[in-house]
Amino acid sequence: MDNSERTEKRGGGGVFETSAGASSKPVQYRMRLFVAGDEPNSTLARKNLKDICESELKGNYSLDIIDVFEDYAPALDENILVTPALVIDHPKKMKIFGNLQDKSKALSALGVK
Amino acid sequence: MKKGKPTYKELETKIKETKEIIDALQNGQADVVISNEKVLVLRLKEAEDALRESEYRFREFFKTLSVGVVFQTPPDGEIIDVNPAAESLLGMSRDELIGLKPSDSRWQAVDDDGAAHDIEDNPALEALKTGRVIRGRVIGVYQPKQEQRRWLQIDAVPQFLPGADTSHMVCAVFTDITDRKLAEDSLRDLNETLEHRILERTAEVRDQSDRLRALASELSRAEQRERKRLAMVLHDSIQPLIVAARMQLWEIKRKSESQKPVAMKIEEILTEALTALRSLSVDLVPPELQHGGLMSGLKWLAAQMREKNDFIINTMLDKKLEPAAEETRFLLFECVRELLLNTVKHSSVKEAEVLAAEGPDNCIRLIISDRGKGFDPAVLKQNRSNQMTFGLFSIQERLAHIGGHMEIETGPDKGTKVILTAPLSDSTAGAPETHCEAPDGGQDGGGIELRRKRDLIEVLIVDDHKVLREGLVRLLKFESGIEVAGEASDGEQAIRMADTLKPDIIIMDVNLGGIDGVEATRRILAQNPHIKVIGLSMHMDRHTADAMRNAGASAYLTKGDPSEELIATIHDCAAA
Repeated sequence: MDNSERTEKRGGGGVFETSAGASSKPVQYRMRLFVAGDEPNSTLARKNLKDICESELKGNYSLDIIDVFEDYAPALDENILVTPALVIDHPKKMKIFGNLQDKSKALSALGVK
Repeated sequence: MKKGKPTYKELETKIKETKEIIDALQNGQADVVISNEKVLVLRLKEAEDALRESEYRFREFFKTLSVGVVFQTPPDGEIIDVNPAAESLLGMSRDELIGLKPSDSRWQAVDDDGAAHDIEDNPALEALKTGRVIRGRVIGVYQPKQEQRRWLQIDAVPQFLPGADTSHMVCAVFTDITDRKLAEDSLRDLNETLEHRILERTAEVRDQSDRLRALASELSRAEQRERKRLAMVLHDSIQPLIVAARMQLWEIKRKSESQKPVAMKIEEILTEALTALRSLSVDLVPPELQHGGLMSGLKWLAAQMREKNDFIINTMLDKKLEPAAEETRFLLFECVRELLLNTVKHSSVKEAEVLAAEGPDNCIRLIISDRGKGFDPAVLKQNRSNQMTFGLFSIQERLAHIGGHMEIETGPDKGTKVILTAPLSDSTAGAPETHCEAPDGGQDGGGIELRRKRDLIEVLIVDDHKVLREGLVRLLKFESGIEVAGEASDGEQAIRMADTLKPDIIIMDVNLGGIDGVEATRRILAQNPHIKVIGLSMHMDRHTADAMRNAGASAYLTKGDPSEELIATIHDCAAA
């Protein structure tokens, strides 16, 4: 992670990275990951999303991680009924439920591949 | 969120999301479900893992169990699962066993007792039907691999789903007990054989015992016959010959003066011989016994012993007590004679008593007692070889053969009391065979009831009426555990005898001449506080009773009270 990355915290979950990326104005991805503390699938989803961000998004993203154990109201606002759930706000509104083990599905939703 | 009717696009998105949610839930990728109220944590994967682990453990356990386990389902007890031990024990593969029912004829099942197995008693079916655990049922089944019957001990445990009333499955657990069962069967066969042999042997022994008894009786009768024959020979043949010889001597004396001294000497010898023969003849069969009966015989015996042995025998006999069988009369007579000769030899006293009384079960009881040296009853147990003990055992044996027995109460320096009991009826003459019951509590002396005299309650009887004293003596003499230590006819004698005899109990007549019973009691207890006094008077008189109690008497009875009450009071006072 370089110095331009910003971090945010939402719902106690913690944002681990954002980035301003490549020179030709790359797409900026805005995402929110809803997790349930350190439950097994939530931990797995964090790891899988981190891998995707590092390998595919090259720092061009912002990510909020929201822990429903601390506050589940944002999840209800977003109509999130189960966690983990990834909400892609930009470039295209999408929701992916599950632990993101299926990497191709996540990349497809992001429009990367 | 926008209100109003959703667009097609929105609906499509919603359906897609819902499908995603279902997939996540189905694939175990969801951690929580969020509702308006709360966050529900899902741990399906963990639960699945735990279930998988549990199933694995169960399967391993199931496979490695050394006992056979089968699961059966209602209604017919069809087998749905078996473990390898069950396959091995039943001699069939899993495939062969699955689907098999208890009613299948291939089992060739038999019950514990070898009878064909009743399907109604099948433990698995019973457990399914009743919902109860059935334990320890033994069934024999045919084992095709070994081509032999194996015995199984089966526990059937019904299984219930949560909330269910009826069992959905039964778990039958069984072990092969063939070796144990065969061992038990052979042991039972052996026991039956042994029992049979013991019965045979017992019958043989009983038979031998009966024959022995018959022989002993015959021997006893033969002895009597021989005694009579010898007495007759002596009387009819020998004695007349001696008399004839003596008469010839008179002729010699009369005719030859020179031969007279020799003839007189021979005559003297012949006279002596004649006297001895007469005595022998009488000893062999006392005419009083033969013609007058047992009581007359005993009286004659007492007179004989006084004359020949300078030994006094006091008799209290009862003419009514005459055994019907001659064998019994002669045997009792011989036993009493032998016992009295023992007394003469060993007791160191010059006096004994012979009493006769009726015992229970239509029996006669003869008591021969002395106040001599006595002996340790243990001697009888330790030594059967000396003459006296051998004689006693011989008496017991002979009495036993006619259905009687012998009791002995004795102790060093305590005198000896022997009680002979025999049937009054004659079983050989068609009367029912009688066995006189021996009293309980004696030591085992080879059939003889032995009691140590120090255990006896010694009683002094005080009454100025001789008849009453004799009545009390007769009553107490035959009471087991009680010994009459002495008799006193007035107060002064009672005080002296209490000092010397130190009895346990004194039966004190209240109305005595001279010092009366109350005063005698007071003086005796002042010197001998351990003695217990039982007051006895003709009438119940409160004043006299109080006077006796104040003098220290332990109890007070009237002479009209039942004799059992006096005996019970003696025992109570002695135990107090």
